[in-house]
Amino acid sequence: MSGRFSIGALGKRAGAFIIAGLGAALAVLISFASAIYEASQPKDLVQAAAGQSVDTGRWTVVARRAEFGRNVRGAPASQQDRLAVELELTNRSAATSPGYTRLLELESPPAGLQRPTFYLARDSAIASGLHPDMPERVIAVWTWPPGALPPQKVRFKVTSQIYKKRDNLYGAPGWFDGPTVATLDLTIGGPDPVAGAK
Amino acid sequence: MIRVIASISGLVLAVGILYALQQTKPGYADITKPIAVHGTIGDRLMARNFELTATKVTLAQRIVLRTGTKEQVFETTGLWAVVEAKAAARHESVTVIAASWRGPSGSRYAMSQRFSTMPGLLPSERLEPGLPRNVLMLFELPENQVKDATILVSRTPFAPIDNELHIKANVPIPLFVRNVARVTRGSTAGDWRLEIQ
Repeated sequence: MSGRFSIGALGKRAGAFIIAGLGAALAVLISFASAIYEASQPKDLVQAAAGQSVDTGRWTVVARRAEFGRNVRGAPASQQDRLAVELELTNRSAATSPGYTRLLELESPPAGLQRPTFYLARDSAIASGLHPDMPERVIAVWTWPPGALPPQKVRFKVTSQIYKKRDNLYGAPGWFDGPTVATLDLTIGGPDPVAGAK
Repeated sequence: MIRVIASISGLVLAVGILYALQQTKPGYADITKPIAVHGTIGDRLMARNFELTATKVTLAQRIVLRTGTKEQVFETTGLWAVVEAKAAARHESVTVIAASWRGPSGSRYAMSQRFSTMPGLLPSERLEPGLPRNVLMLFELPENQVKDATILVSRTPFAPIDNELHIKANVPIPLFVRNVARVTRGSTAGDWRLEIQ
């Protein structure tokens, strides 16, 4: 090929540039096309209900019951209406972590809803880091904004956490927020399926 | 022909070397990891700005905090490891807030944060140079993480290129789990006493 079309050193160099350019264009095209393809094929979300275990990467989550009112079981008394969800959380990572606070997110929250407070079900103390491989029951409590309609059924988005061996900033290992992996439907005041099974 | 083979093999060699370099490059966590000071129970270990001697490890099913006549009980699904230690600062006053229990699987169990008002806990004591204090470290662990464990103590949870004490905790097998570890608050502020039952 080079013998016939060669017009000296300049031609050779131009050929190399063209091949390199084609390669780069192909790489851009493939990565662009695969990104579009992945975006067009959303993964099916797991539809979880009370009592079902959801694997979110770092945590295994089992929702047990939801409650609404001023006095909710397992949390200190308050003057305001609150939504409480009892969860059984298992830390699947290798270190104690308090990173479960963003696992559940209401799909249609009332205006002005703050982040939930977590209490340990065993002694109603504020929950802090949960230890690896030690399932613990915690109660997530959202203080309901005054004037918002009390819910009958609630639907949560369950967010995953993913492990990166090297993060993008320092190249340090760590856990990062991942995509939504499941939706969780709970009925307020519904029976506790885990307690019922026992 | 020989020239073509030589250039191809040179390219393959270069790719191989670069790949090996990329794979063996130490990560950020390895470069900045704490400098270990090794020892065992009973050793007086020196970190850059504090010293600590772990004196005893006791396993218990529950921990009780007694204030006057009131008792607060802390239960767990696993068991409690109560580590008694003597700690002091070396050059200037310091607070040591990070300790974890590394089990045989490599999992790290950070010091329990369930005791907000317990006296004598390592993170709540201000250490002074030349004045060793008795301190407690309380860990909540599953039973299978007790043997072949190491207690890691450092000044802060993320201690890049600072010292971290690695204290080998040789807990005898079979496990001797006591019923209650009771911390009784004394009559003066910060005074406390540990009883094992």
